[in-house]
Amino acid sequence: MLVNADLFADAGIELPLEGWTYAEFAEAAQKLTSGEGQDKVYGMYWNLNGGSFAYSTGFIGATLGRYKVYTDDTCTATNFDNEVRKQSIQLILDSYEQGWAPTYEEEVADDLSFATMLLEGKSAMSMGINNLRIINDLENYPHDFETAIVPAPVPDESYLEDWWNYSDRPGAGDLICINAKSEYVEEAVDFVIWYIKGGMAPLAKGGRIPLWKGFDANSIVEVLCEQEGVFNPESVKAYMSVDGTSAYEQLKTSVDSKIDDISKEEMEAILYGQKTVDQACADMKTRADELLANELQK
Amino acid sequence: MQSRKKKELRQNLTAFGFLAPSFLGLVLFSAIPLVFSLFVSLTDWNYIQGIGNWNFIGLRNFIDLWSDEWFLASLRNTIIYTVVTVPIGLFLALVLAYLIDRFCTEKLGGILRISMYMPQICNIVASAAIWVMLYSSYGPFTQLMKALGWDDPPKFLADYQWALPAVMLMSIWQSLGYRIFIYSASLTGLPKDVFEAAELDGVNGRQRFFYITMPLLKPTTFFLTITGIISSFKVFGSINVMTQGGPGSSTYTLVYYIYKSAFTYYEMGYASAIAVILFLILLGITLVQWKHNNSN
Repeated sequence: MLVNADLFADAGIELPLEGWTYAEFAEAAQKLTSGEGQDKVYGMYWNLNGGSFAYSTGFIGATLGRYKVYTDDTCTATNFDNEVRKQSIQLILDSYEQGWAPTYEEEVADDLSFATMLLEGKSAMSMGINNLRIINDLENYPHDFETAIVPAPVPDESYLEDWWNYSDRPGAGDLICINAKSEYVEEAVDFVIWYIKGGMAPLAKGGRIPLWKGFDANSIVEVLCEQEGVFNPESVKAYMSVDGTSAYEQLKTSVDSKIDDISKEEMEAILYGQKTVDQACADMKTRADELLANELQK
Repeated sequence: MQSRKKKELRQNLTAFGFLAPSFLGLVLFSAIPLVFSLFVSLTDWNYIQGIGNWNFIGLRNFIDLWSDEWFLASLRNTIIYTVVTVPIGLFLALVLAYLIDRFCTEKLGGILRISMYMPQICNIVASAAIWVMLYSSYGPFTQLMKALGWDDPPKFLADYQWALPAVMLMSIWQSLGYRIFIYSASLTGLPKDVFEAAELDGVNGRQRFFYITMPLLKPTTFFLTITGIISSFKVFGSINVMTQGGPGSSTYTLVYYIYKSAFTYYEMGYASAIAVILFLILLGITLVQWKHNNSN
């Protein structure tokens, strides 16, 4: 998650660099909410508009890791009825009711985005690690506060001990593919090894954070914190100390995008108040599992 | 004799030479893709597997369509979109063109027509983005509704019931100028003697519009109806920018779903099957127009 460190300091809330629970997160979000109408500052902006990528990888992934969509490595059934997912969706609904996050309706109707919410000081926290690239771009997204990277919360304390083992995407790099038919496969491999072992460091400025354990974390801190007062260095150090190995292990099937759309549609049904969490999660699972079964049959 | 034949040959070659570029374009960009997509619609081709990696599965795609809720929603929404936007758009255009023709000076009429034509030449993505802002809760629609005493005005693009009408309104606005232009051109070409005769008979303004102008404009109305239906069935840009099919599948349309199936799910066979259905619908409409034109 990305948070406005200045607002945290003003509210006397410590940055949760060691992890935090849903309850602690909700309490902080409520405390960080202030003002009314156009001047309102929300504790949280969920960034669900246009798909729930940030929520799925950042929030669900923080606890379920690679099993956020599929129940196991065979990918024959989906994990949409998992209690963690339901709890996290309930947390979103609570945030609407208690007024510490703009509702999904508002997100869509007003075309809200990470840039217009967090970077314009209208929310204290948000998600979407892919937005790292625009935070350093003060010319196009001018702002005068420090942004900190903090872990997404987990349902309760029992998850706190080893949340980083599950953390789905602590890195924000790209996957690199090598064409099997290339005449230069070995050269490409050499390049990739050079790239992940340090070559990619300058790209951290554009939001490309390496996952490799042996990477010199300081080189990333240096690049990200090149402009003073933009990123909170402590939080970047903490972020870089998390073992990102699990992010290598992504489960993929040929119907991923369809399953994404099913989960989006059912998620919207909850957020617009058309279905209960239980009902929509059950429908999400039934529809997605049916699709998987059909695909396997083919 | 010989020279006449030669001359004829030269004339023919010249004609073919002029025809060749557009004929080539037609073959390359319409005929071949048409035949290809007809073929692909009978296969299970997935784009990722590369060209040629397909299995012939007969009409399975066409059968599967009717149990696919996204396809059914797309078809339903497209029909609603067409049935609402075409008649309302035509009626508004006719009334406005008539009013401009009757009551505006030539200069003012010209300015009005050109300004109303602007949305037509404006890029659809740009105008859709502006309409997203207009529909926001800080936009003029919501503010106007609030000012008129509506406590909780709809959230337009973020509302299952309002999203499609919101996109339809934009489409009516966008095609209004073009329709007014066509109607205006027809209005100026109407025979004056009929109106003079009617005036002598003491016809009032309402009667003049409904019993003389409208029937005389029938061919134009028919042309605009057919082209309107065809372009409504092809609606995509505004949907993609304004709603991406949402909330839920409440603004899915046929072309949007073709796009999703082909370029998000990579199911080229399935997408082609939807395209074939769309082709058949449009072919049917064109045949009606053809028959109508011939009978006239």
